[in-house]
Amino acid sequence: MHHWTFRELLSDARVDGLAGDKTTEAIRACLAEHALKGHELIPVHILAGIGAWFAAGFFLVFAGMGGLFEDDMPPLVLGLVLLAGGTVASRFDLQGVFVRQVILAASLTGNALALVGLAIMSGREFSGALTIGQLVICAVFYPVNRSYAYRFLAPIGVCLFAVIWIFDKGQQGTRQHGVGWEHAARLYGIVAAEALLFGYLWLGKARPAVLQPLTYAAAVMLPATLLSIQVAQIEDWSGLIEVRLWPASLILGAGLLWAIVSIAGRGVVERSPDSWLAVGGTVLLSVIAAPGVLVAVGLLAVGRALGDRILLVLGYVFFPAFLFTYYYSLEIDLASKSWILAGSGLVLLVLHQVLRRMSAKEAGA
Amino acid sequence: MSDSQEPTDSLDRPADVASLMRLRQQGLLTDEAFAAARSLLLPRQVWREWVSRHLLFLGAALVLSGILFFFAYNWEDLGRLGRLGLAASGVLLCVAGSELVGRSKLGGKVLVLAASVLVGILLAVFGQAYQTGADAYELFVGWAQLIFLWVLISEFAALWCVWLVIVHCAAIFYWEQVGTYGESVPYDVWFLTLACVDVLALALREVALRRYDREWLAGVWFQACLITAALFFSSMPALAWLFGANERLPLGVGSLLLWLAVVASGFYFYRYVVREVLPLTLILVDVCVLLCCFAIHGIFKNQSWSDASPFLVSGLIILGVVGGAAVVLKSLITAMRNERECAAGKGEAI
Repeated sequence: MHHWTFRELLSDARVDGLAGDKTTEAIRACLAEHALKGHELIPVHILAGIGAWFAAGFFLVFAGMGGLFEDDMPPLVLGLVLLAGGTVASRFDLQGVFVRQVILAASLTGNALALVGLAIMSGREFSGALTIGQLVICAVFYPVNRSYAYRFLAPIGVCLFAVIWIFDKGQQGTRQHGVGWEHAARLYGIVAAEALLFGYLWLGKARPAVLQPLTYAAAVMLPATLLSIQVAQIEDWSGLIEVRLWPASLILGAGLLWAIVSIAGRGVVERSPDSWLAVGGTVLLSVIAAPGVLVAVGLLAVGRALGDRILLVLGYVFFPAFLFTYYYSLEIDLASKSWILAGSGLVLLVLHQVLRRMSAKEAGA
Repeated sequence: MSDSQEPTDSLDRPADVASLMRLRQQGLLTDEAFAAARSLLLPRQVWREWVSRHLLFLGAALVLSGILFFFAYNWEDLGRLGRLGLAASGVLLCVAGSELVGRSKLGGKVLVLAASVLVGILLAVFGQAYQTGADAYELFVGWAQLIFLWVLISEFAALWCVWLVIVHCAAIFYWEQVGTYGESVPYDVWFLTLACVDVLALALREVALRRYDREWLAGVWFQACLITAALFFSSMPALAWLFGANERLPLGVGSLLLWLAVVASGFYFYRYVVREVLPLTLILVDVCVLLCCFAIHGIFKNQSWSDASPFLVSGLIILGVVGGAAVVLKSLITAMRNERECAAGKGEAI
C-alpha cells in the first residue's frame, strides 16, 4: 500500500483541482502549527478540566454550607457574576494552563450557582427549572465564553438535565396515571434530536470553529443518554417508567444509514457492493440489535472516516459500558437480551465473512 | 523504541485523515478536496480490512455476551446436562474452529479468546448445576489455570488482558472470602501483590515489545490498562495508611515506599527511556489523586463537617495540585518533543 505524504497527496491530480486557491505556504504553516501545539496537548487540557470540575464541586458545597442557598437571589446573582467574570477572562488570549483552569473553575461554579438560584426560584419543578435554566445559560454564554471545556460541558448539561426531567415527570405521572408511554416518547425524541445534531455537526460540511466543542459534546450526549436510560431502569425507577428500547434502535439505525451514505458519498453507495452490504447490515441491526450496538458502530465508523481518535476511543469505551448496563437493565428479561445480543453478533460475523469472501474473490480475479 | 526521523518540512510528513480534517476546518481544503484526499488515503481495501476486523471483534463480543446472558438466565427447561453440554460443545467448537482457521490468524485468535471465556462459563454452569459449595475464587483460580496454556501460545493481547482480569478476580475474591477471615491476610498485602503482578506484566510487555519486537503487544490500550491497574493497586494501601485506616506502621511505610518506587520508576522509564505521553499522564493523575486526598483529609481531620471553610480550601488545593500537574505535563511534552526534533536533526534515533 502506498504511504502518502501531504505533498504527494495535495499535488495528486484528483485533489489538486479541488483544493481551492489557498497557497501551499498556508497549508504548511497550519500543519507545522498543529505539530507544535496540537493533539499532543489534549491530555493537559483534560487534566486541567478534571481539576476545575472537582474544584467547582467543592466551591459549590462551600457556597451551600455558607448559607448562600437560603434564598434564590444570592446564588443567582453570584453565579451570573462569576460566569460573566469567567467569560470575560476567557476572551483574553491567556496561554497559561493554570490560569485557564482557574477561569474554567469560575465559569463552572458560576453556572452551577446560577442554576441553583433558578431552581430555588422555580419552587416545585426542580428538574424542569434546571433544564430550562441550563438551556438559557448555554445559549447565552456558549457563543461568548471561549473556554473549550466550558463550551463542551454546557450542552452536555442541557441534555442530561432534560433526561432527568423526563424521568422525574415520568415518575410523577406514573404515580397518578400508571405507566406513561408519552414519557418514553419524549426520550426517543431526545435520542432523535441528538442523532440529528451529531449528523449535522460531524457528517455534513465543515462547521465553524466555534461549534467544535459542540461537535464533541454531541458525540458524548448520545451514548450518555442511552446509558442514562439503561441505568435508570436498573433499580430505583424500574416499573415506574417503561422505556422499550427498540424504537430508539430504529431511530439510530436511520442515523447510521445517514452516516454510511455520507461517508461513502451518495454516488458511491449506488454502485459499490461494500456500501450495499453496509446498508443491508444496518437495516438488519436496526430491527434486531439494541440501540447501544448501533451507537458504538456509528461512533467507530465516523471516527475512522474522519481520523478522529477521540471518537474512536469513545466508541471503544461505550461498547463495554453499554453491555454492562444492558445486563442489569430491567427493560426485558435476560433470555430475550441474550437472543438480541447473540443475533446482532451473528449479523456482524456474517457481514465479516461476506466481506472476506469479497476480498478473496477480487484478489483471485 | 526508535522513532523514525521526522522530516523538517511538514508537507513531507506522512499524511493522515485527522490532519486533512484540520485543514478542512481551517478553510484550507474544500469539502470536495477533503473527500478526494480521504478516498486516496483510505482506499476500499484499507476500509475493508478495518471494517472486517471490527466486525469480527464486535460480533464475537456480542455473541459471547449473548451466551453469557443465556447461561445467567439459568434456563430450567434445558436441564443440567443440556446446559453443561452446550457450554462444553461451545468450547470444543471454538477450539476446533481456531485450529481450522489457523491460530496465527486474527479469526483463530478470537476463537481461542471465545473458548477461554466459555471455559469460565462452563465452570460457572457446573457450580450452578451441582451446587459444589466452592468459593467464587476457586472458580477463577481454576479458570486461570485451565486457559493458561492457550494464553501463553496465543500471542494475543486481548486474551492476556482477559487472563489478568481473571487472576485479579481470583485474588480479590480470595481476600474477601478467605483472607479477611480472622484477618489472616491483610488486604494491603493482596493489593501490593496485585500491583507487583501488574508491574511485572507491564515490564514483560515493554521488554517483549521493545527488545524482541512482539508487535502484538503494541496496543496502547493494553499498556494503559496495565499502568492504570499497577497505579491503582499500589496507591490504595498507601492512601489507606495516609488516611489512618491502617495502623501497622511497617506495612504502611512499605506501601508508601512501594508506591513511590512504582511512580518514580514509571516516570523515569516513560520520560527518559521511551518518551511516551500517555503513561506520564496516568502517573501524574495518580500523584494528583494521592496528594489531593492526603491534603483534603488533613484539612477535614481537625475540622467539623458542618464548617464551610474546609470546602473552599479543598477546592483551592485541587486547583493548585491539578493545575501544577497540568503545567508539569505540558512542560514534559514540550521537552520530549524538542528532544525528538533535536535527535531527528542530528539523524539519531531516540
